[in-house]
Amino acid sequence: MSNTTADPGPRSAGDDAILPDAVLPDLASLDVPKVPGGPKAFVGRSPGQLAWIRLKRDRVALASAVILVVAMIVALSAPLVQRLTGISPTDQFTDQLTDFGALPVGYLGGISGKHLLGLEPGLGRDILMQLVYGLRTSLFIAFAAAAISTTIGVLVGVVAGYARGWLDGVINWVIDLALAFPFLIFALAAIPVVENRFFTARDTIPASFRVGMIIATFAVFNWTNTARLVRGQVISLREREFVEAARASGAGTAHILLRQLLPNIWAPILVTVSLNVPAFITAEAALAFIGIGVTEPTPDLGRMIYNSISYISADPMYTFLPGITIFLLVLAFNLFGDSLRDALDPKSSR
Amino acid sequence: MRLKIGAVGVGALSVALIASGCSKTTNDGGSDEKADSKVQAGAISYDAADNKGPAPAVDGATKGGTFGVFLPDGFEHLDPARNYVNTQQLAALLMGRSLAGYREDGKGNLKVIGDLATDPGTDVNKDCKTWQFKIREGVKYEDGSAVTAADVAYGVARSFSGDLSEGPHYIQSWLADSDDYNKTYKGPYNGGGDLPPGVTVPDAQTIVFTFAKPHCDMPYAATLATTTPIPKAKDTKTEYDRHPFSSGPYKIKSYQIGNSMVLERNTNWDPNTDPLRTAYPDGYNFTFTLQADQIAERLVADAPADQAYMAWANVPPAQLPKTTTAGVKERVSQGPSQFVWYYGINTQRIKDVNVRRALNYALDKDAVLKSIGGTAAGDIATTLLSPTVAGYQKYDVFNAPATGDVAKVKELLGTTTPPPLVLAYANTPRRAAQAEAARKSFEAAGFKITTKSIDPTNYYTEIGRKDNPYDLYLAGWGSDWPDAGTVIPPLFDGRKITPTGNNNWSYFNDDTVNAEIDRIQGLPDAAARQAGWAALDQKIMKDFAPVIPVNYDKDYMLHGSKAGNVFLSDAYGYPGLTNVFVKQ
Amino acid sequence: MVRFVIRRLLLAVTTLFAISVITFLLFFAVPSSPAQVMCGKNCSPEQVTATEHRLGIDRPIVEQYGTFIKGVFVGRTIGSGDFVRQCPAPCLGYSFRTDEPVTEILKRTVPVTVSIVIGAAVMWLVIGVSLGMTSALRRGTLFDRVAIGVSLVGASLQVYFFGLVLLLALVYSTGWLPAPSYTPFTENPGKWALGLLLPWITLGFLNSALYARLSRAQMLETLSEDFVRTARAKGLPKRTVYLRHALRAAITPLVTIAGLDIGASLGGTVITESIFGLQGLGRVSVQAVNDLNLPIVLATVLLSAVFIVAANIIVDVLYAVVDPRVRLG
Repeated sequence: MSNTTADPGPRSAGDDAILPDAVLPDLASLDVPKVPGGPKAFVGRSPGQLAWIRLKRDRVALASAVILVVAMIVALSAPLVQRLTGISPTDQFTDQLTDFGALPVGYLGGISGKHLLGLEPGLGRDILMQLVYGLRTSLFIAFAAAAISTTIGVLVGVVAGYARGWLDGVINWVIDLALAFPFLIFALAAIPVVENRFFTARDTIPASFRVGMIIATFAVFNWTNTARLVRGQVISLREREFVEAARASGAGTAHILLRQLLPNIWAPILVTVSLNVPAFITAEAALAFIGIGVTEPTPDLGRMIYNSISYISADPMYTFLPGITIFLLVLAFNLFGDSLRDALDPKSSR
Repeated sequence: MRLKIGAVGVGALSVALIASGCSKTTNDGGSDEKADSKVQAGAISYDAADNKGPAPAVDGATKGGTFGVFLPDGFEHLDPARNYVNTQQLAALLMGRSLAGYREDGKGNLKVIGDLATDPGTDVNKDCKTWQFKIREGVKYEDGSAVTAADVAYGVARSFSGDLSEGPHYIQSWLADSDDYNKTYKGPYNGGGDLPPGVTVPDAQTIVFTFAKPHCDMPYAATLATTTPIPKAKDTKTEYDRHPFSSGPYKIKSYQIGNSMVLERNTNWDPNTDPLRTAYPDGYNFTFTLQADQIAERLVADAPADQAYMAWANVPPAQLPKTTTAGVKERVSQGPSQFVWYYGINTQRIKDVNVRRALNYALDKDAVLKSIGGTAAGDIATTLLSPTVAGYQKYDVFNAPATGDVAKVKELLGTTTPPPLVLAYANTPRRAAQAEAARKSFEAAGFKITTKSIDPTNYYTEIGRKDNPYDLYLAGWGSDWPDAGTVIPPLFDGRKITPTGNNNWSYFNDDTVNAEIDRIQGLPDAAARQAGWAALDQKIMKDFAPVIPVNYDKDYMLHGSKAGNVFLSDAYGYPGLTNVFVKQ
Repeated sequence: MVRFVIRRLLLAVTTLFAISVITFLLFFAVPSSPAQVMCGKNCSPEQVTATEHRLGIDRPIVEQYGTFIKGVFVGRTIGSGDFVRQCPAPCLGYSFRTDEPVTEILKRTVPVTVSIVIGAAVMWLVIGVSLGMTSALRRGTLFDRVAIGVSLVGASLQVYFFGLVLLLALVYSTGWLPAPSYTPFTENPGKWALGLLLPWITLGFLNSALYARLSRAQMLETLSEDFVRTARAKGLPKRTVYLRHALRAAITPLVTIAGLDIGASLGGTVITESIFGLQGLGRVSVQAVNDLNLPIVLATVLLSAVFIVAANIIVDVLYAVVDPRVRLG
């Protein structure tokens, strides 16, 4: 996916490996005498708990988490919003468009008591409802794609990092291939081909199939970043003493991968996921620009922005509203991801 | 310090942004001219005065200067055999002369006269089967050599070639007496002869076309670029697109694809041999690098560098409000183009004429039109013929309001539930929006519609298949010349239906209509033919309703303040270039 | 080092081959034919077949692929009969639609894309690195916090939103900048820069965020190193310490990421070109996919891949050169 840098491997700062359990002293087991009336008892906490405490204390994280939760609630309860306003996202209020040019009548793109965010030019659909349902589409695709691509990436990265030799080499080559192939072109070419295989000429392709195809395409291209990251972590971890110790005591490969390595890399993976989701939101909107986005009449933020390009000077609200929505969403995710990273990394300097 | 400046900058930007969105949009102001208010008065003229060069002077015209044209994306084909797009045809007129041509004055008067030939064709035996053209004396190419009838014959011959076949096929099919014109002759390449069947060149200035069947509109067909002369020695085949060998007043000085094309005078062109072209500008400059919105912005602004420019692109919706103010309004050319858009109803699947009539009542044409820009893009259509076609008559069989009439739909359908219908559309944002508007209105009237998107590059191929699985699809048709003979027969003659490549998208086939088509085509008098077509237009809609006319396509284009004599051509649909000038 | 480079080059070549094969397969999986796309109105099946024969796409896929590869390295003849043409190496074919040699199409579109990316890269590196380093030096101050905030905003914006906003604000409403356009550098450098200024500003601001954060973090880490403390203790002026010592150490990872970023950007500028109306590599390739114009699709896909793969190799080599601790292998 272009214009976002490939996730750096073991060479960038800020992605320091999280110390594994075995190195931090287990404070809970220390026998500390309690002084009556003195300072509070010393309580031991796991890194996870420490991270959670740090996160809770971070006001920025709290604010961005609130925005995200609100967005998800709005997206999930879209039908409820529809019942409240009485307007469906596909209703066309063409009588409130001018005859010449089909622009919404009134101020700021037709904002009124009935249409809080105005109307679309051309088709006259309510922008608020389009945003609410579009949010739903975007969030669904982003989360699903993030989940799938992260899972694939983790599995492949762990295998590549641990296996060494030719398997590692092959996986590296495949990752290079996936990075070198232009993602948008592939999506543009491949999605219609697959759709044609599954549907006859007369069938209408349900929007859910297109959504599924988009998720699949994202997953196919984006597991590489996670895989690289995980591979780097595994490489730096596999020579540690605790892995050697496990191997010496007869642990099989599966045990080492699942019980020793995986629990120590969950932190950077979590951060990656939280930064992948906004990237997918952005990319899904970008698909509309080459005509391979979510199809009409399913509301979609990207398609709204693309259609609004020609109206930019006549009805700027039509561009701003979906654009600001995506911006705020991505900003909230980025802030939360940053705070998460800071909370999880004990060496981070604020 | 840095922060403060930044804040001021951001503040100024936001004010500018909000100010641009804060004006109130109202429903007044807009297009003054309705598409169907112009009356087309076309004629084929054999008048000596009309056919004599030089071309009549334009009031107030001045010679000199460079005239500019903004054309997004440029030309695909300038080769006469492959030229079927109106912008390409208009540009080609500057560099090539066909046997006949159109003289237009911008007020609806259109005459077909002889361009390269001394008249629009002599019907030698008065049976419309043999047509003789005499090439004018003194017509020269850009290198000074003379244009001969053999060159015209060669141009027609190479248009038969399967590799150069993107242009119109009228003359080829008429000569071969079959739509499959390659059966007998494949062009002059790979060993083929230089003369196509039915074409003879008795002497250097005479060319004769002999058809098996009568074709009384040969004068119109002779205006096509197919009859442009091309010397065999200068035939660069697939490279010809890059540099057509000029027989007109201008020749190519430079041509960079995707960038620009510059024309300069052909000093060997003699104005006394040319009744059509005034050739006032010293040169032409075609710019391909801008898109429609940038073009509109620049022409509205009318900076000195752009004042002699004209747009070959419609003003997009965003810039429309800027074109209604004084100073800009006068520089808009607007009016109907030759295109009419309909929803073709696949009559093989929807056999019940009442259902088709109900569909006509159900469609909210206003919404469908608004989805592509409202009255700036077109006007609601109720006829099959465009107002630009000679003899057009306005009628409305259904008299439904533009937003549709749901009550009438229920009345027509009664208790029968209509079958579920598939509406196909080309997958571009514009057509997707239109399909959505159509779907909503059909469903509001009680029809069950599923929409199906088709790749836009394949769209006409798909709906052109006889066995296509769709029920409704939007299609546009523009007359190839301003005579209904290029509209009704291709669209409604059922005998022309073939397995693929159809233009009769409703697959309509009725014997009485076919007989009537034959009768009208055989009428020798042009006025009688026009009246006949207009009556047939109404009859088809009234008795059979095989399509739902949606809108007449409208052009809405800007030109700069120094671009003189710019008007929409009824023949080609866009503003022409043969009689423009640069105001000094 | 040499062995490393050779090995990477060989791997790169196999990657490019794989990409060309995938593109071929994708193209032939599409049910419709480019001949039909080009045909226009009134297309008879015979014409479609004749056009397919002229384009050479009625031959078996393997043969077509072989001819293409041969053309790239040795050159080939295209067409048959009276329409035959010689295409010298490297032959990328002719556009199905306009018959223009693909190399010509690349010659006029690649400079556009390269101009956009190089100019934007200069802008985002300069803005990003200077912002990051300065805020590292003024850590904790208001400047630092505002800089972080601004770079976060930049990282969260998208080119299709921000680009449109800037277009509206700077071009359409106020007219401070001319509408984006491409003039070749050799023709008029001033106009070249002015016409691309808006895309440069947009991309520059959006991408600078990452470099600001990165360089800030790197600088902070380097500043806490012992050698910096030693240098300051020795009495070296601040400027010498920061510019000569700290900067050098902090730059390394930036080089890596910048290189990869530029490579990736060269491979994907579709959205930017579409927003600003510039006919570059991205736009041409999207149009080619829609037209089923195989020669152009192949050429643009391979070229994008070459940019990315080359950037990868160069970055790895540079990294080894700059940081002697890194061993290639």
